[in-house]
Amino acid sequence: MKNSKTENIETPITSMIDVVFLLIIFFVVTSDIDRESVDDKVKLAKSTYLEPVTKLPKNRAVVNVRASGEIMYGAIPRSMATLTRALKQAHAIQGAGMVVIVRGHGDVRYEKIDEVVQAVTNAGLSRIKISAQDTGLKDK
Amino acid sequence: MSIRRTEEQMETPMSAMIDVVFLLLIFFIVTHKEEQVEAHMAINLPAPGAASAPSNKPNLLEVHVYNTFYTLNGKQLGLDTLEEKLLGLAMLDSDQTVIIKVSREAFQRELVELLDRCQKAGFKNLNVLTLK
Repeated sequence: MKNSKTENIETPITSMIDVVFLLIIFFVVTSDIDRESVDDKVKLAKSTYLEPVTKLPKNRAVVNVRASGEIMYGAIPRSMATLTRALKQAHAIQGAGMVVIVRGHGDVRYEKIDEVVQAVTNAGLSRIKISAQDTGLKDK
Repeated sequence: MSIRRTEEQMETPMSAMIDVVFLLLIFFIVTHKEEQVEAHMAINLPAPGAASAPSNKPNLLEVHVYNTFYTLNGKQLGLDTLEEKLLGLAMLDSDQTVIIKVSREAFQRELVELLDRCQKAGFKNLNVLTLK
């Protein structure tokens, strides 16, 4: 009888673990892994009619161009030459059909975007997509 | 007295669970960032070594993007007028190629605004070049 009383005093952590694990699973499932290629310093130009992206292409390279003109690829600032080299490497790994997504800040001069375009061309790639922020006003 | 004590001890201690749940809630509220939906537009690049696209072909639309204004086949226009013209031209033939030449001084948002209007009009075949 005394033994039974001691057992009752133990903290029932089962429900707590259940809740914690459910929360962890929920956030792991809903978190977008692709966000790691998104540079928070890049504020994209707004677009109303361009098609919103529901699924990114499997073989892709994301290049961010900040307002300061810095060209970022893989969170590292790149010159045109190093970007070309990095894109060539990515192309060798990912194979044909790789798409380069250019995320240019709305206030960056086109000359910087042109540098990216030239690097893409020099790397022997031809598929490029310009990124914008969807306003969601198309159907309103 | 003994029975009352046993009943009290059998109550589920919720405080630890609530602590954890509230901590997690606060953590996710603090770290939450509003996710922006992105839109993409595929563009065609010039062939390597090509200085400029052939612009003397008939029925070829050529839009230049400058800092603060645009030109359509050499005529200077504002964005709204350009949109109207593009809508009219797309009704005739939306399969025609649009050559977009962007000044190095223009801002990225001006190119995106033009791409947006081209999409609205229905043009899909867009070639983007740099204005030399």
